[in-house]
Order: sequence, then C-alpha cells, then structure tokens
Amino acid sequence: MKRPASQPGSGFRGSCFGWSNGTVAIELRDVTKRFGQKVAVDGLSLQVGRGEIFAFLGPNGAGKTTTIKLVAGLLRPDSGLVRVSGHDTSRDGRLAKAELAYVPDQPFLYDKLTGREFLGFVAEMYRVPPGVAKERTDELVRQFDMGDFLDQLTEGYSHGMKQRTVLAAALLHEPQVLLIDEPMVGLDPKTVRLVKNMFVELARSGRSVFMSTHTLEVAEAVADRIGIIHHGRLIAAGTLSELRRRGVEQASLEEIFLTLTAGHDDPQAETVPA
Amino acid sequence: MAGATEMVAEPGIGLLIRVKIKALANRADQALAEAPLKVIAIAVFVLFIWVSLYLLFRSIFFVLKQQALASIIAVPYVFGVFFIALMVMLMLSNAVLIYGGLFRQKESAYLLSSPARPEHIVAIKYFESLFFSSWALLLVGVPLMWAMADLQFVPWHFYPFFLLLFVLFVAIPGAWGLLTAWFVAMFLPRSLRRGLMVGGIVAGAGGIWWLMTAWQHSPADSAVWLKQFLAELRFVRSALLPSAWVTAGVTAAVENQPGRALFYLFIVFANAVFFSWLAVMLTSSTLGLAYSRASGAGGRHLRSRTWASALLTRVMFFYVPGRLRSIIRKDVRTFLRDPTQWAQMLILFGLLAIYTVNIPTIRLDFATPKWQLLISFLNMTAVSLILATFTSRFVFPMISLETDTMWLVGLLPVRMSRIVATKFIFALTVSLLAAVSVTLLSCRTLQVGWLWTLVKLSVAVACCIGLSGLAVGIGARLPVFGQRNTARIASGFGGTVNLILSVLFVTVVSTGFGWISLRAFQFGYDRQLDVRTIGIVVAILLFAVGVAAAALAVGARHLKRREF
Repeated sequence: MKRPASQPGSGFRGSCFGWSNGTVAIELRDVTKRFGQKVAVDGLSLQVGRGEIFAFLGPNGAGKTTTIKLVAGLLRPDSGLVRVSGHDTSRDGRLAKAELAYVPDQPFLYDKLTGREFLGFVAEMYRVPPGVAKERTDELVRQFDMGDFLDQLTEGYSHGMKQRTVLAAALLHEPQVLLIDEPMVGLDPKTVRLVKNMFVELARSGRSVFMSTHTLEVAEAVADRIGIIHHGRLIAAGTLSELRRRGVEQASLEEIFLTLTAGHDDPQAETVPA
Repeated sequence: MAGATEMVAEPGIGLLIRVKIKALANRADQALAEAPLKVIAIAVFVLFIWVSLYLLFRSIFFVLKQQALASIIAVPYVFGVFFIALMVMLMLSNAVLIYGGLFRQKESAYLLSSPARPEHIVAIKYFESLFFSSWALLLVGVPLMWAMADLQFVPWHFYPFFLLLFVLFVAIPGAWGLLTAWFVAMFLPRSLRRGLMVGGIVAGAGGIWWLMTAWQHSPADSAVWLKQFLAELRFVRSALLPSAWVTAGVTAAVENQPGRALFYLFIVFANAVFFSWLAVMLTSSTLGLAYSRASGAGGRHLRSRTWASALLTRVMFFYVPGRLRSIIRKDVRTFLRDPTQWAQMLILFGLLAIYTVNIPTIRLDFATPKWQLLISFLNMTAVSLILATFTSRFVFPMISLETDTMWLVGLLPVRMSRIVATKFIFALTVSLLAAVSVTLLSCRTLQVGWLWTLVKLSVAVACCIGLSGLAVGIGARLPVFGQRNTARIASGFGGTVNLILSVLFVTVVSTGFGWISLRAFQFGYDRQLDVRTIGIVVAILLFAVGVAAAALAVGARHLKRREF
C-alpha cells in the first residue's frame, strides 16, 4: 500500500516547503484564524505537493477542521495566505474551488434526493459531460458497492452509506485536490481498504489528498507526509521516519503522536520547527 | 489545472432551481405514497381555514359597509395596518429564514465549496425563503381579498391583479430581510445580536403600547374619537411605504380604476426588482466573508452562568427527586439558551399582558357584570389558545428531541414513565407561570372578587394540565426520530394530531367556562358561588387531569415498548 517516497508523482521532498510553484497543490503561509478570543489556527505554514497524500493529525479541537475549511475557502484567514493550485482562496475563490473537492466530517446530502439524483446534480454542478458522468457514476457505484441503495432517498441512509455517496460525489469530477475530514468514520473494513487504494491511485495520477484523521493506522499506511497540529500550531511535519527522529526511534505513529502532543500541552509553548 | 477554466464555466442558477424542484417533487411523492390520509387532512384543514377566514372577513366588511361613511374613511386604514404589519412580519421572518439557510445550514457550506456562483447561492436561498415565508400571506390574504371583492362586486380581473400585487409585494420586505441577515452575519457579533434581539422585543412591545395609548388618549366613542384615532394612524398611509402602495393599488382596483391600479402595480414591481437586485448583489459580493464571520460566532463559555440555571431549577422544581431534577435542569438550560423558545413565549404572553393592562382604556362599562364576564371569557380563551400554540410548538417536540439521546436517557435506571413525567412537570411549571400571571393580571385589571379569581385560576390551571399532558403524551406516542428542527417536528403528523386535540380540548374547557359565565350573568355575579358552578369547575379540572393522564399513559407505554 505504502508508496516509496521517491516514486515519480509522489512529489515528496521531505519538508514543509521546497516545491517549485508548479508542483504546489496547497499552500498555507503564516495563516492565523481566531474565533473570538480563541486562536484556532496560529501562524500555520504548510505546503502540500501535487501527487502527495498529506495526513493531518491532532487532538480534538487542535485546529484540523478549521485548517481544512480554510483551504476549502469556507473560512477566511484573519491573517496569512491560503492558495490552492496557485489561486488565493480569498480572492480567486471560484478558481480554487473548481480545482478541489471537499468532504466534511458530517457529510451533506439533500434528504429528498436519491443518491443517483445527487450524483447527477454534482456532475452538472462541475460541468462533467453527460456521457462521462454516466460512465464515472457507474464506475464509482460499482467500486463503492452502492447499487443496492442508490435509488433510495438519502434521508434513509446509514452514516456509512452517506459517506460512500459523498466520497463518490467528490471523486466524480476528478478534482486536483481532495480535502477530506475524517474519511474513514463509519466505513466498513472493505470500504476503508477501497478508500485507501483510491487515495493512492489519486496521488499516482498527480492529484493531492489532504486529510485529517484520528485513524493513525490509515495515516501510517497511505500518507506521504504527516503533520501534527496542536493548539492551532503545526508542531511537527514530515515523513514517518522524520517524525521518528524527532520522537522515539522505532516507535509507532501512535507513540510519536502521544510523545509530541504531550510535550505541547501549554498552548504558549514554543513551536518545534516543522 | 488544465480543466479549471472549463469547470469554472458556472453551472447556472437553473441547476439549483431544478434540484430544489426535484426535492420538492420527491417529498410530495413520498407523502402521497406513505401518508395519503395526512395529505388529505392537511388539504381539508387549509380549506377549512380559508373558508373560516373568508366568512370572518366577509362579516367584518359587511359591518363596515353598513356604516357607509365610516367605511369610506376606515377601509384604507384597515388595509394600511394589515399590510404594514405583514411587511414587518415578512421582513423579520425572511431575515431569520435566510440567516439560517445561508449561514447555518450544511447545504450552504457544500455549495460554497463548489463552483456555484455566490449570487446564485444567495438567489436560491432568497427565493426559497420568499416561498416559505409568503404562504401565510396567501393563506390570510386570499380570503381577505376574496371577501372584499365579493361584497364590492368587483370585475374578474381584480383577482389575478391582487395575486400579482401580493407576490411582488412579498419580494420587498423579503429583500430587506436578506439585507438584515447579511448585516447581522457581517457586522454583529453574537453578544450584540442577543442584545439587539432583546431590544427588538422591547421596541415591539413599545410599539404596541404606543398603539394602545393612541386609543386611550382619544375622547369617548364618537366621530371625534374616530377622527383622532385615525390621525394617530396617519403614518400607515405614508407614500414612502410599500404597504401604502399595495393598499392604494387594491383600493383603486376595488373602485374600478384600472389605470391607477396598474400605476401602483408598476411601482411595487419596480421596487421589488430593485431591492431584490440590490440585496442579492450586495450579499453575494461578500458572501464568503459573511459566511466565515458567521461561522466564527460560536463557542461561548457558559460555565460562569450555569449556577443561575441550576439555582432556578432547584427553586422551581424543589419537589422533584434529584435524579429527575437533573433531566429537568437540562431542559431548563435548553429553554433558556434557545431564544426562539423564550422569545416566542415572552412575545405571546407579553402582548397578552399589555392588552390586559390596557383593558380599562376600552370604552366599556366594566362595572356591569355583562362586560366583566365577557372580557374574562375572551381573556381565558385567548390564554388557552396561546398555551395550545406554545405547547404544540415547543412542548410536543421535547420527547422527539430526546430520541437521539436514548443511548443515555433510555439506559438510566429510571422507568420510562418517570422520564415522561419529568417532561410533563417541566412543561406544566413553565406554562403555569405564564398563564397564572396573565390570569391574575386580568382579574386585577377587571377588579374581579377573590372567589371568581379562584374560579378563573382553576380554569387556567386546568388548561395548563390538559395541554401540557396532551403535548407530552402525544409527543411520546408519535415521536419524530432523528430530527433536530423543532419546527419540523411540530409540523409533522404527530404535531398536527396534537394541535387538533389541543384545540378540541380548549373548545371543551372554553364551553365549560362559558357556561359558568352565562350562569353568573343570569343568576347574579356578586353572590357566593353555587354548588353547580363549583361542580362545573371541578368537572373542568377532572376533565383536564383525565385527558393529561390518558395521554401521558399512552405515551409512556409506547416509549417503554419502543426499540431505539
């Protein structure tokens, strides 16, 4: 499952920065976002390259979802810059949005549409030609095993069914950047395997995946790089082996995560250079 | 990247409209397939309301027509007040609907992360809000115009004219509502928003007070009084108000002046287009920023205030055992932190209190038992109908809202019947506070003796018991699963059943109280209560207790058997 870092298309360079402009899919530069007194994201700088799978880890309330929403253009940074494929999300929001697909942790579906109608809506929204849309829909329905429930109203779907439908909708228009918040919640093991394979396939074809997750096993298995955010600050980022060098040699990602976040319980503590 | 330009070729508003229509069609198909009787019942109810309103308006216009001179002066004012009230209500309801739809729903987040144009997102939410907020206008407006046209023998083209005028008129306060929602999201932090809401309620109450004072300061019933009262209402005919244009258009159409009617129609049309364009363009130009600011409004720290709700619960529900009081404390906090609940209750009973305090300003002789009894009867009916509205809207959904937390509440070492009972106790206490206060105020204003005050309080208590019991019991028997929106829960099948039963209950209680009042009028109001009067009061109380107990038992039994 795990791709070697040197594999063509992986885009991995081993640090937060270092891509040339054309190879950067997502760029956050000194981004800060406050909600009243609370600093949700604090001076975050990060780059995700084309063809890279980046996993964002952090304790609850660390700022993962806020960061993803900032990249999706749903939130505006109080300071700093967010770019998707070179487009500033605050100024050229629509150009940036055309490049990405966003799957929130609580997926949205129109209750009174069937899954098939929803996929049709998404295809039209992204101007996917009807023939291509049908072909892609059939393929995704088969891959996600959605045939049994696709023609029922989505209000009756279980969480897993909704998640599969939303993932299929996100992939329908073949986005350059996939933003996904907690992708594996509610999915059965077979679909988890499928989604992991799909992420790898996306990355191989030069697309980028930016996911936040608590499922460390998934991050360990598929991510090219892993970022750890705590109290809104990026406290570490790199490949698994780079993180091990900062934490405990031969340790699992879980141990590294716990070690790094335990050392940063004070929100005012100095940030470890990422 | 290569495909970016092609994909940015926007999908168009047509797609968003199509998806809404498809969802609506699916909803209709589902309702017809799964609950055809419910659809028929709703249709019959709407028809019933239309016909009732038509008959009511017709009789009002008939009386006005009989007073030929007065009607010439008063009718434009009646319409003026009607349309200005509608205008304010439409603006507020659109502001609330659009704020929720544009800045709180998951759908907006989805559309904002898609290549849909901001103006299309705003426009679809604006149309949706106009659709949902204007049905009431049609429900009230159509029978109103129909009744007037019927009495005035107007030509056929009046009907399509006033419908068009109404539809265009709705867009003007709707656009103001959209601008209000945008302004709130962009510039008002939550603390200021709460302050403004309280301010709005106070201003609304002040406006009603002013209206009552305008009535009060006029001399005794006479042409002079009418003239002075109408002079106070002069502002409703101000040429700058859209409601005045609609009034003028309708009046011109009734008087068979097509040229003048069309003139006002075009004025309304031009303003509707202008304000809609302005509101949609202004909102969409900063939609991303407004959404971002509105999203950042959450996360208040309430720890310092929890002691107040805990103390309040302890004082109000001192007689409830500790563990059950914890459930009630949760409901008290939910009630206090949900402005739609406390604000609606405050508005409804506040209006009733203002009206009650101002009763003496009505030019009637309250020393006579006839008027005292009649006003008391009307007050009691108003209190019970408002209570029925409150319990149907807020008490009925309580058990449905609890179905999501059955993993916790359902596993508590407490019988389900006791959970249902705590909901009943909570609803009963809140409704008693409001109903008893207003009843006492009414009795004091009318200078009713203590024995009759006791009778009226007993009837008010009966209303609270019966209506709270019905709402909790039916709510437990016909819960709506997985729905967090109380308005949707209340408007579902169970909510409709509860509303019908509540209205029937109020009818029975009002009939009983009417009987008492009639007997008092026939046999003397000042003397001691006779056995039959006491018997009727006891019967009303027993009836209320019986209805509540039956509903609660049915509800509790159903919940106990239900699988979650």
